[in-house]
Amino acid sequence: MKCDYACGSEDHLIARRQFLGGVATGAGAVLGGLGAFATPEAVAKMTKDQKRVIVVRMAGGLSQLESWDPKPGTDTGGPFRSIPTSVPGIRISELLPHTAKVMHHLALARGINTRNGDHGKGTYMMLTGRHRTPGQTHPELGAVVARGLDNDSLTLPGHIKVTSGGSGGRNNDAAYLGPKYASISLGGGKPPAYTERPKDVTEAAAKNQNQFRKQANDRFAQRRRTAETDAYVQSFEQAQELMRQRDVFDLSKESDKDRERYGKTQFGEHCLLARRLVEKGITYVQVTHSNYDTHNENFSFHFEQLGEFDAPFATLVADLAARGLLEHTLIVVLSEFGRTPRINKYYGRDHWGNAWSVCMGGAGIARGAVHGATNKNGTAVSDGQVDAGHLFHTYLRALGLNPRRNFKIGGQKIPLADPAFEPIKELLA
Amino acid sequence: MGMRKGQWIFVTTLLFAQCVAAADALPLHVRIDRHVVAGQVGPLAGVASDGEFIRRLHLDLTGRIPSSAEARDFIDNKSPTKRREAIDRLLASPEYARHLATVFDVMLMERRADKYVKTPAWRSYLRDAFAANKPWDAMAGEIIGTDGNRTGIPHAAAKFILDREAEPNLVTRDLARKFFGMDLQCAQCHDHPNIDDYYQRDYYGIYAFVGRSFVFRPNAKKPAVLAERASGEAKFKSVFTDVSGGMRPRVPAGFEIPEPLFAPGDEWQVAPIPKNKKVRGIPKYSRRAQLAKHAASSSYFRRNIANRLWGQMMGRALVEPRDGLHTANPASHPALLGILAEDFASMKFDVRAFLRELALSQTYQRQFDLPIRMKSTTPIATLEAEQKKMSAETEAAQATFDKAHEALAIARGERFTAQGALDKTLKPVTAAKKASDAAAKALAAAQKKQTDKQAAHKKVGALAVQAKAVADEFKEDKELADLSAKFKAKTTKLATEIVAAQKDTTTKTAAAKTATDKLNAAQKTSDAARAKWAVFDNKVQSLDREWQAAARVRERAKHAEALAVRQLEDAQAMVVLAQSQSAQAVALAKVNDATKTWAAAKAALVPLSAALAKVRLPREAAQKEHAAAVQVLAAAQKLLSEKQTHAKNVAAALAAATASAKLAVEIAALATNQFLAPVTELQAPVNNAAARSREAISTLKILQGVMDRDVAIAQQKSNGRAAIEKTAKAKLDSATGAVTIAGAKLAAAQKRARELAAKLADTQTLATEARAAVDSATEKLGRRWARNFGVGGFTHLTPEQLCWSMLEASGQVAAQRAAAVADFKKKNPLKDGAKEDPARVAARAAHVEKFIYDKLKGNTAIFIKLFGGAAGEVQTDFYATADQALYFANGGTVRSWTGALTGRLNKLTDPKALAEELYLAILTRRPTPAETTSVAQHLASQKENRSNAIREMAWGLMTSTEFRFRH
Repeated sequence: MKCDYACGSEDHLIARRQFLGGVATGAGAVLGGLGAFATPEAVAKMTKDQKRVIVVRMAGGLSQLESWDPKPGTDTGGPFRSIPTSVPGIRISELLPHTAKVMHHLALARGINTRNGDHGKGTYMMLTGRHRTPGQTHPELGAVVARGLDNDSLTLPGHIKVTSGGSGGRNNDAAYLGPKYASISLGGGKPPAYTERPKDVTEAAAKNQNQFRKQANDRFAQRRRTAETDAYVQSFEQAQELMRQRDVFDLSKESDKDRERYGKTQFGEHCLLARRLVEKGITYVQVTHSNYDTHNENFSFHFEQLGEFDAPFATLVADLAARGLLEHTLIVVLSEFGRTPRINKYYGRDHWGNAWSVCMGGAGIARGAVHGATNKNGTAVSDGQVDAGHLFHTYLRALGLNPRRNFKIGGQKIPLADPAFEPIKELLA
Repeated sequence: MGMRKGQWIFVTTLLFAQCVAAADALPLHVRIDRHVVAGQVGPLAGVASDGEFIRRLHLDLTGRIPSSAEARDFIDNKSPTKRREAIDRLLASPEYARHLATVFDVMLMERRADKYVKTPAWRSYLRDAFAANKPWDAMAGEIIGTDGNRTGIPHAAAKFILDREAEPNLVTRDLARKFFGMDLQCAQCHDHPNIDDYYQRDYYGIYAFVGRSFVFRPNAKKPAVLAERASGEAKFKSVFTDVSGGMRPRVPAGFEIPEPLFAPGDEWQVAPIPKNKKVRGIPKYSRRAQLAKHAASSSYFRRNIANRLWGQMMGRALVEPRDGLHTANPASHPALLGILAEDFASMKFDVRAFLRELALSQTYQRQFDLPIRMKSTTPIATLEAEQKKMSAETEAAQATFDKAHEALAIARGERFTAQGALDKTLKPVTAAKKASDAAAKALAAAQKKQTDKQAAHKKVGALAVQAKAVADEFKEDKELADLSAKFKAKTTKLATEIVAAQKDTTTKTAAAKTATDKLNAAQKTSDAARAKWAVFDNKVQSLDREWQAAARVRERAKHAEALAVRQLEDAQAMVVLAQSQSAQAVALAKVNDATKTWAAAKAALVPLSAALAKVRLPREAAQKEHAAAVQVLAAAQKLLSEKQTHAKNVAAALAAATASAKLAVEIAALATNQFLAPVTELQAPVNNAAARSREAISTLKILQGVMDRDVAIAQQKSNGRAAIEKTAKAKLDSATGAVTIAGAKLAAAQKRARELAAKLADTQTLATEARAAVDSATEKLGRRWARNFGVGGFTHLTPEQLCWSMLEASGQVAAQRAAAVADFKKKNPLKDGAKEDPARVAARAAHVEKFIYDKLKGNTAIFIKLFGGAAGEVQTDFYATADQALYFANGGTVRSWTGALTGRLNKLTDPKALAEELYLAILTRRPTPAETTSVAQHLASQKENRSNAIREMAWGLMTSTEFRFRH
């Protein structure tokens, strides 16, 4: 068989040139900086049509029985009832009364079988759409999406994780897609690290030192200019752009009324921040709600946790819909796995990947759809069984990305999604 | 310069042709240059300046830029051999071993998180190895072969396999990548779909070496080591073709290694005990140890390391990606990689000596900017013809190879079947052996029993005879008679038992024979199967040799073709650049012309504007004059109109008075009418009224006379003014006419100027496009020249290089160096009268290096996080992200580091001296005059805060592209 692509680094460089924002299209654009192409109109248009993603990760493993696939009145059902939703025929747990009202914006996959009960593997699988294999790490959804949807007009990082704490900074989740698409943590919802000029550096000093940098760069460019030197020069302009747009990450810029509506819980604030970030054109935002690992007291914990989750999440969905953003924004509520139908002696439910659910909605997703089902007491998938790979394909399709396309990495082609799977057509609009 | 270079190329090309046979006698660095020059179809970059050379050398061999003192010393040194001396000095420095340890750690481990071996211990192992200049094959052998428990090899050497959990697929993939330069990932499940040279059997050939190894750690408190099973074969099936296969251990491009045959149960040096997990089984024959032994015999092994070390020095490997060694991804000079590989092997894998040769080459010491005139030395047509010829040769070689490949595949299939049959015969042998052993044991037991009985019978029989004799002597003694009887009975019983035992022995003998026969039969079957397998195996080995030969021919052909293609493309790229340059020249000429025409048109506007201005003045005067006349006329007309109105009013009043007088007359007539009774009392008022009317009429008539005169006067005045106005108007009209004409002339000229400006803008756009085309062609050609080593290597600094260089440039290293020297003196005081000897100098150097490293190493972590690749990913790629720039701008660290440098510079009062020290410290060169001026100006602008000004400049230079890249 013949090699149908250059295995050398030519492709690699070309890909990198695209990442640079087009060295080939005009020498001036690169040296001219971001201002050259990021006109407000262009950004406004791009911001409107650009696809975005919000993932809510229910860390620890959300119980499908207390949320998307209740089985009241059975041996596994637990104490909670099911309630009707805005979609006739769909009933979800009574712990989600607000979400029930926005169900017509959402869809459910109820036949998930990932055959896994390990936190690490489950998270990996659900976020990369692949089973872990030795010797190869794959990028997370955020990195795939950030790279897949990247274009010249995007001046902000495309992959954001809102975390409950930590100092922020770049994470290690883009694998071979490279640090540009690795997520930036907003530790405790705070803006990215080092986006503020230190107090002991005056504006004039900052200007002076950059002036010297530019002077040296210009001289050097006369001798040798490569895609890499251009990218390095540009990274400083991106940094300045990020500092200029720091407000994007500042939740205090939202109105008091909205802050009230989302509630003063950390999760509520993070939902509002997610809204703000996608509105400002960030491609992928992941918010985590913790913790659902309820080996003990499953029911009281879900009562509390979902009580915190329900209203802000429903507000977020309704807001995005009202602002016309939902048709461009994919929303996914996922976990590493579900929880056992069997209730253990501590009134807990344990790890369970064999029959559980994921909720999604927005861009490209069929509104109010349900795919897959479990049997009467939820102990097995009875219809429409899917794995993490199917879900991953579905997300990409919903965003208009072709999961069968390849990334070209160092002369190798690596498909965006695991080629062994395909999208769930029933969930796509 | 160009002339000299041209001559040199000519001479060396000739030499190259003549001296191929004698070439081996020449030093490697000379041969490298000859190969690079001979493979070139365009000009080569000139020799790098001293500053560039020493910066490059320091970065490549010690991992940081030189200090300003080192830079100054080298640049100002007049010795003609200073470059060679610098190479030797740095290769002997303690920094060299440290730097190579870092480079090899990152290359081999790719910044994975530690599992069983901590990075410092591993680095220390690598550093000691590089310091001792351990040959690479020996080092690789230790890393691959040790189980973590070998005398003389530190436990840390086992990190490569241990920290990959000895997971056979992961270890196979990374062994192939790191030690053989092949990314065989795809070949795990099938022959590589896109790379001709990567086969599933390559993958499983390596897998077979390591598939039996596993991590052994019965006690969590003790270090993990590797254990190995004595059996387990590498079998596989292609998911594409469903063809199955099996591989004995085989290094890439080598042959399957023949293995000793052990009798079942005889495989262990230390046998594992199933019930005792603490005992580590050690097989007599370790497959992993075989890999350590045979690795260096693989051409891939040698090419891999030669390619990687070349990349380490040249900023770019001959083959990139470095784990992509295969014929479809050839080196720019394919034969050169082969020469490097074989030379390195014949240098006994002496890393230091090899790096020295690389550094001595002109190829290493080339300037990093493209030569100015890029023109092909060979006509394109010639290159095209050459390329076509080579393609035809490749096709032929491919056909031969395909045949050999097919034949080998069939033979391997046959052998796999035979292997299956052989495997089936092994179990019966083991079972028969077990049965036979048991039968033999039983027979031996029976025989022993028989012998025992016979001995007993003999002894008891003898006693029975004696007992009988005694009993016969003492006939009355009943006890003795009984005893004799007992002996007799016992003897009889034993005789019976002997018969039984004999019978048993006979049976067991027969059984043993049967078992042995069975074993022999099974063994015979197995031997037959093995013989059959051996036939196929021999066939495979022989066909494999043919395959290898065909593969070599194909490789050579492909390499020659690749070289021809590369040269053709190089030449074409030069043509593209030349075309874009001439297009740019044309575009610029057009811009020039358009600029000229436009300027002329613009110049023509000046007199026209002046003329217009000139005629505008009289018009303005006329306008003023006319306006005044109009005003005066208006006043006169207004007066006339007032007078006329007045006259009209008087006339109206007169008419009214006349009418009223007439009425009074009529009334008077009525009052005196004779036919009517006279109204005498009315006569008086009537007469009065008539009298008043007459009075009024006469007054009004006088008034009318006055009015008529006034109107006449006003009329006259108005007429006079109107005449004046008319004259003024005529004057104005004439002046306006002149202005209109001048204005029209100017407008026409302006229109033309605008048109020309638009045309100029168009030509400028075209010129910009032409410039972009030149830039793009230059960049492409630059990439090609980087690939064919026609320019000096150009690459980014690794995170560690960047961090250490910033520490050096900012003065942090110097500060620690001073502390280190003081520390050394304190710990090793020089005895009175003693002189420093080389040993002491070396010890101090080592002490200083370690001191500085220990003090500052913590700083690298953030650089690795920001500038490095993700754990387990390729670490050689370049990334520029906003968060890196943000860290430099707002992180505070880098700026605070510059404090040391700032303090030093601030003592220099002369701005020129300051500028020199600043540029030497940060960029390893002296500033240009313009840069010196700029420094002086900046200092002057912040007289009140000089150190701030220095700090700003230092930051600006340290974050510049010139600093970020190795050039």
